[in-house]
Amino acid sequence: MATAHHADHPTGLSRWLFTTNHKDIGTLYLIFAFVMAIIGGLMSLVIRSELWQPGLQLVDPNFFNQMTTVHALVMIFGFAMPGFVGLANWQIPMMIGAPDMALPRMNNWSFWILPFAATLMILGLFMPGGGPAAGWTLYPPLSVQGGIGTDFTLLAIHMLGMSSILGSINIIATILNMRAPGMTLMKMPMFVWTWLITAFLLIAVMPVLAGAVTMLITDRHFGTHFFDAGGGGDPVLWQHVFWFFGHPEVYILVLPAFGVFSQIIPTFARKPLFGYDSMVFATASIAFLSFIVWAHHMYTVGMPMAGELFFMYATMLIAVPTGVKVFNWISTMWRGSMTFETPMLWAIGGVFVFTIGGLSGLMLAITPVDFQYHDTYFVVAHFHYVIFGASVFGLFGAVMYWLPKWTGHMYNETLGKWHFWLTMIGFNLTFFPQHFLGLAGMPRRIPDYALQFTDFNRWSTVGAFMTIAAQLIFFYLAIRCMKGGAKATDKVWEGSDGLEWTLSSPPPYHSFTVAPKVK
Amino acid sequence: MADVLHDNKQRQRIHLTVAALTLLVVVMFVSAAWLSLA
Repeated sequence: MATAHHADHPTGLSRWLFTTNHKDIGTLYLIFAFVMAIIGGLMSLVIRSELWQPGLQLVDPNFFNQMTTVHALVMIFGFAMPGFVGLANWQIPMMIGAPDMALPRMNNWSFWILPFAATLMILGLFMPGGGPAAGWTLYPPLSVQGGIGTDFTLLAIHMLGMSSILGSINIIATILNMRAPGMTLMKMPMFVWTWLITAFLLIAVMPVLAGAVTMLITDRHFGTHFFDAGGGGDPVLWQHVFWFFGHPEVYILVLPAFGVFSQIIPTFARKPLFGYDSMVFATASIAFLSFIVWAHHMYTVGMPMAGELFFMYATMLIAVPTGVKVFNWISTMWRGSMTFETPMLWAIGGVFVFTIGGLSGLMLAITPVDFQYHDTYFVVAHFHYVIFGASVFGLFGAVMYWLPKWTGHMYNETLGKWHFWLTMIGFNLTFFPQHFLGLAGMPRRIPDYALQFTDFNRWSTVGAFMTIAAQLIFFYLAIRCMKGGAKATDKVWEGSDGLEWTLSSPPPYHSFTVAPKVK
Repeated sequence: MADVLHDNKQRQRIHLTVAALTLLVVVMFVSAAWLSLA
């Protein structure tokens, strides 16, 4: 355990600038993610305000398109990914009994790339011609035609990708080499397992995105024609390479949340996780399948029937390991002594919301059906159920679950429940009506729409404002918990199990300097 | 009890892991470009 001199660290700004401590870096990542969530959330309010009623009222169409583009990029690369890396930094060393991450200096660098990349991306909006307006998928020819703001974004994506790759190398090196004696791979907590698999996904696909973005940059500035049909290239090539990254990216955002659910549900059901081995294999299967389904995002570009059939069936196959996980969580709860503290609400809510997104995903996987739904609000509803349901619910669940451990104080349970329910209701109010809008034919990424879509759009806008407003409660709750409150015990929750709960609350600045023995 | 902070074997294993993963990063980056050129 830590001795007094181990706890010495610089204070003030230099502590945070030069820190190599996994807990400090985890905190930095989480704060960064929250700031980006607020920025991305405000962009979504611009989008929803514009769509309050038909007939242009607030922003010009080009700026609207920039908002949909940058909202997505900020939320994916600035909020969800860094948020989970923050959790990984805080938790993985404490869960496997390691003193820190394997490469602490690189860890500092991984983080400090992020604020500069995010600044670059946001600054792009203020350049002549504005930011990128091609959608987060950056399809050519639109992305080739954009102004200098697009270059800012492309460079930012390169930097964010580098940060993710460095972070992933660190996570894999830590998990494979720094586990406490006795902790075999199949004894690792599920959160660690899901992060190990996610880190491999990141390492496999972020360089592919980097390759694609590099080609886009050379098309824009160095006279190449990779994606230019006029020069012998093919814009559809971008779609293939982008989605080879883009589909695994969905699981990069979702798998760590599955790990969080697998930690929380057994704790509050007071039963061990049902089917641990099958959970591990299901996670690995989802990761494998994510590499062979990319073209389901682009059925409508036209491809051979055999290709359509292959991608349709491969996509449907993902429902099998995903179903294994959902049934395992339900079986864990079955006949458990369940209580419904805030983290458990987020976990159950997350599984519920994600499952709805999974089912609409199965609908979209069916090729002829997708021809009808493609590029409509049905797709927007679907992926928000998947990504919000897993990533946002998972992140909030994790923060509420481990906040007492991190701060040494219990949070206010009433505020926690208010935050959960307002977000849950606000989210569903925002996105459930979008299924109907999509089925009725409303296209996505448009600043205006036909009169008959007005009512559902209004519900959606009210829900969006409610969801964002609810986050003020979380902000207040988190600050209050950091400053004080009832003292948390070391174990925090009655049903908690794992190495992190053997440490004090808050844990010492340097924990597990002597490796614990795992039986 | 092993001193996890000064374990040279562990350090070597970490370096090997990093080298292998870096190679994977390079291969994936190059393969994206190569497939596009092919």
